[in-house]
Amino acid sequence: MAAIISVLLLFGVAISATILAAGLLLLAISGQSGYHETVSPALLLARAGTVPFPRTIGGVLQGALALKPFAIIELGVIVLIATPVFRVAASVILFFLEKDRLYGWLTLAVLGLLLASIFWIGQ
Amino acid sequence: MVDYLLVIFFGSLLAGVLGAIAGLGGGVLVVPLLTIGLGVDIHYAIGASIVSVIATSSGAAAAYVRDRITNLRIGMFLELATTTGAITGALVAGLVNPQVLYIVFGLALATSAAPLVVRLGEELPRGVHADTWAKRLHLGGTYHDAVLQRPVLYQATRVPLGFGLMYLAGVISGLLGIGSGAFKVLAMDTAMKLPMKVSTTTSNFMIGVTAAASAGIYFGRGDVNPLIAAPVALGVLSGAFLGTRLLVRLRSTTLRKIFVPLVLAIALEMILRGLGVQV
Repeated sequence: MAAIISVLLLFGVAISATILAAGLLLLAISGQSGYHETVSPALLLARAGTVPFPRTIGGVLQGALALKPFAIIELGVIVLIATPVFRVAASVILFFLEKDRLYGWLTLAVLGLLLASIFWIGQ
Repeated sequence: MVDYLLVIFFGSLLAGVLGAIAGLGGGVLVVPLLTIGLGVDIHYAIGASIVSVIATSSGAAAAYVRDRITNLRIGMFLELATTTGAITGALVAGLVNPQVLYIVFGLALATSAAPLVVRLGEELPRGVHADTWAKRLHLGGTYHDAVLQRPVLYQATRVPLGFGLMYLAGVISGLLGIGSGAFKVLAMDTAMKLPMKVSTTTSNFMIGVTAAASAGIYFGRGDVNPLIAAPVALGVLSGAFLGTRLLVRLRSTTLRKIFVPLVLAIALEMILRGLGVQV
């Protein structure tokens, strides 16, 4: 169980890091954010809410497919955020496979609460 | 531009190293680096610190889980408390003044550091007797300590107290959007009497889930600025990998000496934030 969880976490982190690095590289090459902004420290130091970038999963996917650097980076961030969620989901399955019902149900409850807070309270 | 990104990358790398060995998310370093150091807006800084928590957690946990230092059962069981707490916190967030909360919890954290000072020289907890809950839920285990060159057997005790403190840690996360790793380590180390390395690595394992629970809110609000998030995530991930190599070589007593000042720094940061200073 530990080995599988460990590989899963490593996998999530590696995919995320690759996407993030690709986004940064594209940013460096093009010098553009993909959202009508030339990349400069001003985008770093701007007041929150004034820098344009996608903030929904749909918007991120659309932008990433169009190879917009900021959208690709946000896609990497989404993969990073999803990694612990997948880890919990995989643990549910692994506990039940190990016939550890108590911990299977317990982890399922954690998954339910986690998804509730992401998709219900997050709105 | 490149100089900004490099400063953020290397600052985050350091945050990742410290976070990975102390069971924290690294926000304590990332936020002031961005706000005081570079002049980044506090909302973008907090958005970046959420990313930092998840990166430290997943990056470090991959190694700690593989090396069997993290206790999966204890982590998952306590996640039940932290996620319930996080939802409670998010639900009541509008009802209470966050500035007052920062001060209250900052003071609480500073106070709880006091017993740690007394136990600075403690390598492993002694004379711990598993309570009924620990026995029923199999909350114990063994890990190989590379420094002591022997397996360390341990049991959890005072499980209801630990669970309650974890619930509180979850409430704080939900209210303030922080990983609350320091509170988690304290709940396991001080209340449940787990070995320090088990406490910090299991906290590391857990904070990713806590942060993921509130990450959606920050992402949707547009607080995760890609130009900051990318170097933070890559820096923290690199740091977390280095940190995991470092932790196994450290004595628990050394770990405590690193942890206590970090806890005090976090407490100070929380109190200052409560007083309106944007750190």
